Amino acid sequence: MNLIAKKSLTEEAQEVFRAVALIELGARMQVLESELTLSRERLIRLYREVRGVSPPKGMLPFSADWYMPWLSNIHASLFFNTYLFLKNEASCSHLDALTKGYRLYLEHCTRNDAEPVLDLTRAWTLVRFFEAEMLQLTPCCRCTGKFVAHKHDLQHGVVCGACQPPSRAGKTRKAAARAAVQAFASVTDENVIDPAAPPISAEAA
Amino acid sequence: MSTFEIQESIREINLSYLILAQRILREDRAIGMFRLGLSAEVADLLMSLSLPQVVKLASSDQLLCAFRFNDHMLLSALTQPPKHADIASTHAAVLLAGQPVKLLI
Repeated sequence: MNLIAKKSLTEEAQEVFRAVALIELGARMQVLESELTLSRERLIRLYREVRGVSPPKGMLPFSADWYMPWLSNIHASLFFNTYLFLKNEASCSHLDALTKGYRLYLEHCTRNDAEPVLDLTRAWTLVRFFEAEMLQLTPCCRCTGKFVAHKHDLQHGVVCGACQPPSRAGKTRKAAARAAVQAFASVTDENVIDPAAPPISAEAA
Repeated sequence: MSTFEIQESIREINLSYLILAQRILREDRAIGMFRLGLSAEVADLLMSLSLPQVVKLASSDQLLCAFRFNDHMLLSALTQPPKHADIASTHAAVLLAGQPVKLLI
């Protein structure tokens, strides 16, 4: 009754396509190994063919706390609500719901010029944490949306990070750098002489 | 706007909605259901409609597609503080994705 020995060629080909789709979306080896029945050697070869590099080594992220800060929480909640819809309403398999849900999530990010904070491996571990009952969906008391939270956290009177962003929200190093670049551009438009300019003109002379 | 114009506009919206729904459902049933917020039964029914049936259904005087936000959700999604306007669309997407499908039909 060996499953691997019994697998037909068409089934195997489908597995290969699923693996390619997952690798293209950025899956790590651990995700592939637990979701697919292909051998480790074949998965590594596939990974090299699709990405052109060897699969990264090292452990997967293991902390459920990553999903709690406001921006990652909103993104994780969006992905997980999508995943649940696809799995429960559209009766997709776990793997289909994962790939389709993650594609829909990426699509949302590109359309709204948002950085896709949640990568596929994080999305996969999120589903695992829910299966292991480490996380739960808690309704926000203002917008009634369902958001990712720790199991056994308070269920009532919770306000989500989107309704009430923390005061430091969005003030990242990247946002500060972007603001600095914009400020610099507006200054140079006004033709203010930059102190860094003289050395360059001296070099040219 | 005359009654006739209103009826014509509604008919046009109904027809475009039904044709768009059929097209995206046939492309990928699961993703189509997600985008439209439809239950499996309604999705299958829409997919099975023939073109004459679609035209007949569209030519009613009332709108066939419904508003997916209820007032409460819409208000909170749209009254974001302006400095976090960039997450407003993601917030709305979370609310839409988490909608129970039974409310919609």
